[in-house]
Amino acid sequence: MGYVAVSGGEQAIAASLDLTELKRVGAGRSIEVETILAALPELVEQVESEGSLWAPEVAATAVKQAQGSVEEAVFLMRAYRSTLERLYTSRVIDTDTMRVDRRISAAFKDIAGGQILGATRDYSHRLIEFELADETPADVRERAAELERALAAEPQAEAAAAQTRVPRVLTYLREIDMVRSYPLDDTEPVDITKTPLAFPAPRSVILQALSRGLTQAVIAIGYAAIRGFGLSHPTVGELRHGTVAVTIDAPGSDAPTEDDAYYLGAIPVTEVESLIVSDEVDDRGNHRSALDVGYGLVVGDDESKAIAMSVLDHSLRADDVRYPTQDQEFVLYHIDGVEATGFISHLKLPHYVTFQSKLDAALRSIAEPEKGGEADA
Amino acid sequence: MVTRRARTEVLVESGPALAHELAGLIEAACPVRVVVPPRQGLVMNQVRETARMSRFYLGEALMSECRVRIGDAEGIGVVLGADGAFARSLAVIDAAYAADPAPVPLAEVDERIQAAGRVLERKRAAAAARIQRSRVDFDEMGGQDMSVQAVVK
Repeated sequence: MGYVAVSGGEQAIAASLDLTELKRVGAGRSIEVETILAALPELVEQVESEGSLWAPEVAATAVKQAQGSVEEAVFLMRAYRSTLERLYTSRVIDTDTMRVDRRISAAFKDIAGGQILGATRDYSHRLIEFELADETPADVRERAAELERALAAEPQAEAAAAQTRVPRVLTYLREIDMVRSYPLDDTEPVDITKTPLAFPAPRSVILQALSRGLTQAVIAIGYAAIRGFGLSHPTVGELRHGTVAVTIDAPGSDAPTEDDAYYLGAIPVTEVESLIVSDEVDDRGNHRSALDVGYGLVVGDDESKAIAMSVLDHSLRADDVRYPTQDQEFVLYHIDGVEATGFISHLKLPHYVTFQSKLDAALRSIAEPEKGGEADA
Repeated sequence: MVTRRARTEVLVESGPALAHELAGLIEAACPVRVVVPPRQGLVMNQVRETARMSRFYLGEALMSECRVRIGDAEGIGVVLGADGAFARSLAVIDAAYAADPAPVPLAEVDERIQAAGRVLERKRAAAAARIQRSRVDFDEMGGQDMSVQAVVK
């Protein structure tokens, strides 16, 4: 049986698209993109993170068009990205230069620079604030002014804060040789948007794939790795949130310098360094306990994703297929949102021929039970 | 004169109004030719991770670019987002810094950028001080010294 071209669905498809659009506009209300950006920043950031494209206005528009479906909005972002030329690759971003607005450590109580909670829901009551249902723009402005007054600092505190630098927890652990130091590795990264996945994957591929992975998939698999389906039980050595500067070298420069670079803007990121007790073998073959570091860095605010990424970074270094969470192919192939949702979604498309073939084989096996095995062959 | 890195940071973070104003001063004094009209594209962000100190690609960002010339001097304007007019004004200012002889308004432009830089620093210091309000003070809890420094000792 060959493929049979069919037609006749155009009218139904056109009506279906109209019905979808009617769902968006049918209630007679519209939301401004600026409102989405202001009121739902974490949703917009998730779409940018999984879409692997930092473009807040575009992501907010995608959220609007997708009627709030993250899956659809991410698909729109990836499609949009593919229409644009890559003009530059940034200078290597050093996260030591991050403008930190939150940093905590679960490993040490007192850390140089202090535990800075920043904006977090970690200590909030998870109770629905029903009064938000009636909140007006005027209420929002009044509340903002009230909070700004409450949080205002003295000029001396401002001057001191401007000088504050926050050294890494890892630095101290490297000083006492509990965490191994590594020299700068300037191996050119592999870009998964240009190179198909191959295994074992280089480190750059693993980190890029995890960082843009489907948020809930990264979290779920990271959780599984901790819970017993893997060997990683981390302590969050340090979690930082802040913005990092995006700069490019002056085009055509023979000896590019930082001072001569162009600054394009800053993007918010969350960075996690997890500490995992591991067995290390030194140069003389002696085993000892040390701390290995799992690394997570995601665009936006999603701390759960960044922590899970750090767990999986460590986990995937083992590339041991006894545990799915350590199997690079299992994890990296299945965490990409567009790949996963695209494949699942395609199951809705017509499979008339393949299904009829299966059905035919099954019916024949019932009619001729003694030849059931042959029907499948 | 401030470095290009510092100058472009102040201009980008101060928003388009300042760049448009300064570019207007320059264009009133000398002719500007657009070489590459404003266009949108992508910049791929590469990062150094801190576990193994290797590099990887974090993902792309939408950006706008424009290139102009003042005489033989080329100026490039680049900024995250979709704002071609902003990129053009940044390119005009960049060309003015590269031009020889420097356009007459350049001294004023540089002074304005340095002033904007001071405003930006004050804003950042205020924001940092606000964040410091959420710094945890464990002093009153006493007990065992659980600081990272204590472990190092």
